[in-house]
Amino acid sequence: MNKFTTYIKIGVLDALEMRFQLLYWLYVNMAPIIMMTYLWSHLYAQKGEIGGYSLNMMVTYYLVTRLINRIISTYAEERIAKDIKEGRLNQYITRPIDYMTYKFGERLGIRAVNLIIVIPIYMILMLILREYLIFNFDSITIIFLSINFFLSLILFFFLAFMIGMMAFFMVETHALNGLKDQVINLMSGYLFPLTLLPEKLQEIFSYLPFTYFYNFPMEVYFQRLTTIQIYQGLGIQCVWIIVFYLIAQLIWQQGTKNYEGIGI
Amino acid sequence: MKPIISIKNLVKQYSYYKKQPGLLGSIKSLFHREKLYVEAVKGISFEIQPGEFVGFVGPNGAGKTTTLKMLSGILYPTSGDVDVLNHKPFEREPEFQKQFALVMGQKNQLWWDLPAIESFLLNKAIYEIPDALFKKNLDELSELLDIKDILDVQVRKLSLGQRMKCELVAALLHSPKVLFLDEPTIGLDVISQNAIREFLKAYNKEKGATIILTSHYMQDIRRLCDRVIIIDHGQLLYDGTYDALHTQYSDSKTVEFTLANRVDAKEIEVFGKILSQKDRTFSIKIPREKTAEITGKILEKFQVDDIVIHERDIEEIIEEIFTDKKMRD
Ligand SMILES: Nc1ncnc2c1ncn2[C@@H]1O[C@H](COP(=O)(O)OP(=O)(O)OP(=O)(O)O)[C@@H](O)[C@H]1O
Ligand SMILES: [Mg+2]
Repeated sequence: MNKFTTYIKIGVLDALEMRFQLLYWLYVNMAPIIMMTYLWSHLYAQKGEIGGYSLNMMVTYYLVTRLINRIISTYAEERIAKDIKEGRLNQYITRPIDYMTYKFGERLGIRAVNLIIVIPIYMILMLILREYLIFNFDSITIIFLSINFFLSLILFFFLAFMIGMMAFFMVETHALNGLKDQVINLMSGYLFPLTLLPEKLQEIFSYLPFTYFYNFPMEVYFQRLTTIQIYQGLGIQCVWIIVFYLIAQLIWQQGTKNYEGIGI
Repeated sequence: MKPIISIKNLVKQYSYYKKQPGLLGSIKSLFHREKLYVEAVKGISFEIQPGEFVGFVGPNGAGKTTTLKMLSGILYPTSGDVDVLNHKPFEREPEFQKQFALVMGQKNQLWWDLPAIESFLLNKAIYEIPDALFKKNLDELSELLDIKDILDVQVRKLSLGQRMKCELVAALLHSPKVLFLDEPTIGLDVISQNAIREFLKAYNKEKGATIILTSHYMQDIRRLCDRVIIIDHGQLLYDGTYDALHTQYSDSKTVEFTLANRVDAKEIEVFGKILSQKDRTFSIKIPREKTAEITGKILEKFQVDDIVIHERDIEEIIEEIFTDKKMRD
């Protein structure tokens, strides 16, 4: 554990060195949400409900999913691909350190700093948009959501790790990463609530890991699921974590075997 | 004694894809890529005993870094055996990794945006160094390398020399038994080079650490290494003591002289092989036992402004081994 907390600390320190990104974060987080709220309120002027979602639910959905995104993304893929391409991986594979654990810790540290900056921004946003929002402070819901976020964070990291590791086999991983983001955006409910989709499709999606990133926690938040359904969802997430972990290990083993320690 | 490092018929073949230039080439390569191989290390063998300080020398592209990468477990060998500290390096076992360190002069392992001390603390956690030992080692190393007052400065603000010293400290905190140094003095000024050399020498003597060092600076090899291994094009050219190398190839000396008048090179050639000529200054190679005789003749025949006789430099010797080899091939 001492090792792992040191990894987190390194990430925290590194992120603190980049405080100047604050203004950028401020903009990235606030502007689209305010604009979307404006847009939705016009769309809803004629209709009271779209796909079972009221205006307030829609705005809440949009805002909270952005916040979840801040919590669960690690943005590790580029750093991992760079480590491999530029030969910095050498220093990890020659030391008694598990690269995956290390990167996870470091990314947690970096993201924690990001969150500390982002959370006040969201509190301000919630204050501004309070008339459009649905609040739910039910403690059971919060516990379920925390578990879900934690599992999503791990899943997100494994996905990033796998994409980053593709640098073992190809020169350019940007396109692949873009593709992954597209798939996630479409199937996770990041762009719109999946309840707007046909039932059949929703059922298929419920076996895939993506919907548990955004759509599922929002359903939990709006208390539209039974406790059984929630346990089921969290269980499916756990299964996917195991699957992703195994695939990641396999890619790592193949990759480091072919790795040529580029540079110098 | 059982060797601490031993490699046998070690081969490393890199594979890469041929890429034709231009857009058309890129499009073609989408459908068909020609795989090419380059054999960077072609079956070399040697054994190193505990406590040895070995200089690993060769021209650019000789395969030095590739060999060090196989010794430290970054690369899987294509064939052959490699054994370091009774482990197969490519298995990357933690017990093995805790006993060696690799320092590359052109790559840094320190965190760029953080003070060096943070990277040291990270290594403390990685190598599970006990508090007391960490403190002792850090004090000792930072004292020896004189970096006490820069531990809290962001690494990217340090000079190259200071950074290299910090790299060394980071690599030695866990008291490795085996140390691989790939061009640790590259780009440093004479003073920093000296400081690092002195330090390495003392470290090898006091701790009995086994060290393999590559360098293009012959001073490094001369001052530090009892034993020299020379490779070129992935093949072993020489393995023996520095002194033997020096004696073996020092059956000749270099005479350098400046003449008062312009003289045709042909007239000089009769005394010995011309190594270099610059205007009226010549440098020729002569057999050791004929030194007095030939210099006498030169002084007799020409009006000489200046004359110096010196032992041949190790650089020249290595160059000669390489050219001899090429002529034989
Ligand atoms: N990843 C790689 N892919 C393909 N070829 C490589 C790779 N790395 C090295 N080589 C080739 O292998 C040969 C040996 O390279 P190596 O880096 O071991 O040389 P070196 O002795 O360390 O040279 P230098 O003194 O320039 O550092 C060179 O011909 C080099 O081009
Ligand atoms: Mg090299």
